Amino acid sequence: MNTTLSQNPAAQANNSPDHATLIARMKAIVGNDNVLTSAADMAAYECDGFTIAKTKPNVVVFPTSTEHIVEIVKACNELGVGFLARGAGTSLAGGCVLVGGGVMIALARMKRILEINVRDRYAIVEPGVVNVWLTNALKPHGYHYAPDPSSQGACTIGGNVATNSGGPHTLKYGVTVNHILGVELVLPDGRVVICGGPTEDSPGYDLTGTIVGSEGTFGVVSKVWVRLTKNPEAYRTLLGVFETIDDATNTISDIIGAGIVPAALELLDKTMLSAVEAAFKFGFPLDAEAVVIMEVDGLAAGLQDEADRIEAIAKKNLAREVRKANTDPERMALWKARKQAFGTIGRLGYPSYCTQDGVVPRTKLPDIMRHILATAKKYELGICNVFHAGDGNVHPILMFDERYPDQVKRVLDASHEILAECVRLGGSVTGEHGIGVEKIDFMPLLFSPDDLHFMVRLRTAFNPHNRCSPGKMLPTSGGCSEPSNSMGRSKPGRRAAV
Amino acid sequence: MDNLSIDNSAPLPVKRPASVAELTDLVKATRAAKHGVYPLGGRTTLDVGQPPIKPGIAIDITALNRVIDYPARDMTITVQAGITLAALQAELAKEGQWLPVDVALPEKATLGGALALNQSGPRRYGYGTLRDYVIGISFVTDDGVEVRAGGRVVKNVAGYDLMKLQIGAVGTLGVITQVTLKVKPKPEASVGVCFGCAIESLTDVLDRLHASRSRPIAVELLNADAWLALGFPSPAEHTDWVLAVGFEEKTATAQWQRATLQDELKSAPVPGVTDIPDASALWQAITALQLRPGSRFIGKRSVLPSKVAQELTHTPPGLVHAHALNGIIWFHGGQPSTGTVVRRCPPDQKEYLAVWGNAPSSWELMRHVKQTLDPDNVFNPGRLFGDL
Repeated sequence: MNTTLSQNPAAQANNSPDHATLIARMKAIVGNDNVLTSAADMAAYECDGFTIAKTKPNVVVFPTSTEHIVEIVKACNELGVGFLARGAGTSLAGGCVLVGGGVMIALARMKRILEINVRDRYAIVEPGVVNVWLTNALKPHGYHYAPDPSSQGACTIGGNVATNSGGPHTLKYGVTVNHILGVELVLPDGRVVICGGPTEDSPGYDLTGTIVGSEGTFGVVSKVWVRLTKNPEAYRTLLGVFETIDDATNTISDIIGAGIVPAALELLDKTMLSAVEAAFKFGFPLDAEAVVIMEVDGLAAGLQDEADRIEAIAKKNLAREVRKANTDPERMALWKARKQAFGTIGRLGYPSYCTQDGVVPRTKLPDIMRHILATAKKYELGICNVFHAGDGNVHPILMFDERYPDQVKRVLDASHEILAECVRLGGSVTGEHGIGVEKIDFMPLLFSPDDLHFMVRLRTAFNPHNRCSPGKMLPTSGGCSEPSNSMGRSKPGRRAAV
Repeated sequence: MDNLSIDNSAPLPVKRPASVAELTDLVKATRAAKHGVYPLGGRTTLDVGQPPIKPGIAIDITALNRVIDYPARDMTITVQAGITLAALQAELAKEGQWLPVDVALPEKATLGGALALNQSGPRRYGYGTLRDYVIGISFVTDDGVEVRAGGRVVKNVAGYDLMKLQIGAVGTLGVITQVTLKVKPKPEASVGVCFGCAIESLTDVLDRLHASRSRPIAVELLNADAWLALGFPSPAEHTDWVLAVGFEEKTATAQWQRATLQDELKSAPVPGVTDIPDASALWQAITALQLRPGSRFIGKRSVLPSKVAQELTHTPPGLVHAHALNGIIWFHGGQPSTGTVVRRCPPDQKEYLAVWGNAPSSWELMRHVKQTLDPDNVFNPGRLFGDL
């Protein structure tokens, strides 16, 4: 199923003199130990969590400093090859696929926490710092780094910045961009610029906010200033058990409608529960259609009252039962089960799965859930659901066997139908995973040619030759004057699977 | 015809388009004439920034003031950018919701103008700033077309975040026409306390406020002149500096916080803690100081929050007030020191003052973004970059 996204001759000529020059240049910059060149060593760098799209980089390099990144980027420009920064490769839309081949800049060895300043509520980290490391380092101070994607045990803060990652607690605390104060960016021509920083209200454009979520197309982020958040004093974590998905989604809508802002509202459906239960033996009910993890946090005073209101709303919506995580270990066990849900999908008996990432207005959750289940049925696909219901951010997981092209086609067709329905309901095709290569052809569904043209102009200001993270986010059509690396797609939503 | 001068510029004819289509036509015609477009909202902050460098027209967006869509249960609202903050908040109040951002003169100030200058006030400590609430935006570009970014859902990473690009851009990258916001339920209670504090105790007391078990939404520090200018009753025992701390939450939670802080302050070097009778009104009054009619000069400095007290040891005469735990200090009066963003001064002084303070190291990149997205320099020419 390997795809050939490559239009760059350099990418195919791994035994050419140019290739040897490239490898020699990289070794001279970072040393022999920080370069991977063999196909076997580089196999893990062909894709991210969206395994349907794969390309081979020409070389993988591991810089350990900003100066290394600068030299790598300059060499890529001299040699005319593309490059892409990579964190842990946990993204799910092909954001780590190096379209056209070139140099994969793996930032995993830039993993130092450079400063923690609790009094001024910021930390400075290198991009390869794993998300949860920072929160662990902050534990003695009573602070944390709020964005907590489900992959936080593996994903890096640099990767979070590239995709503007979310997570289960975004409902109350916001997404990555709400917690990024500044970045050091190596521009695609090798210049280094610092945007923002720990003091607030820097004059001029909010380049930091514009760079976050740009999927690596504006340069390579080499340092990040993040906001630190004081830990909540207390939590109340409830588990609502529902006989129907409608009852569960109506509960979510009613909680928000009642003016309560929970820290998290996460839904798991019956199929997902069976996998999670098999793995964790948490004690989830196996006959319920859905459970919803409902968490409120904050100061202890008044928190129980809020939890009681949530329980009443769940019961009004025919919850069979509302359980409570009464102790911290119970709460941690529940969140572990939720956050590692994806890892348990293998137990459902399918070798591959494709996680989708649509968003609808919260009140449209019942509609999109009905549509998702009907679509899975129509295409005869295994499906399970675990998602950030409070944000209206659905993650239907379509299960298949990628050895059978017919199944791959059905997965892509079903994904397309679901995402198109999200757009029709007033939502978006990605809440937190990004456009990557997977969803490029959906962009014209969301944006007009004028909108996309303006975005291309903005990219040109940073990345005029489109050599940095090429082939991401913006389609080549739609009246946009950009260098073509078109793959001649005809049907939307399937570009990556050519 | 209505004319307007900005910083003693030659009079600019004012156009007030009734539709986005009229607005796009005006932009196209102005660009073709190689003139500039100066967007106008409530005209409350026209003295911020450098003087115009081109003739042109002022485009008043206040006729574009409709609520487009308010699905209250989704806690989002889509409005045209010419709506005033007061009208926006009144609409949200019907559903018990609000946009928790303080903007001075809300009866006049428009949402578009507030975004262009990234306005905020005391409650930014608890709620953040406009960048945390804008989830979708439309604006007219130099090509005279309306473009859109973001969307109407609270979580969405499709496409570049042009919302962030426009917030604080001083209207130099287009005319904002429409905005989608995520909003919040209005808190049940807004309470607060105030107390005097001597300059030598400030560092200690601010450290304590930072470490408090309570979770304030505002921590404001004012000198005696600034406090007097508010017209609010003074704390029990008056000193050179006054601190005002606010809590917004469910009633029980807000009152617990007030009691907790009062308890914590018993061991602090502060003479006596007084309740603020109407805390919400105090935050609005402090915000209004940003546009105080009597101040000839108003400047704003940003420092690390831990350095605020040190920064205030040598203050110029006049009003001083600070969002103390954000590290943002407002000065009225005196000569601006290096690094101060000048928010108001006599126009003739703009020739030699660095109006935007110390240029950050990304200033060149910002100029390049401006040149790429507005190569003919149509929007607010001169006002951010001086020569651009």
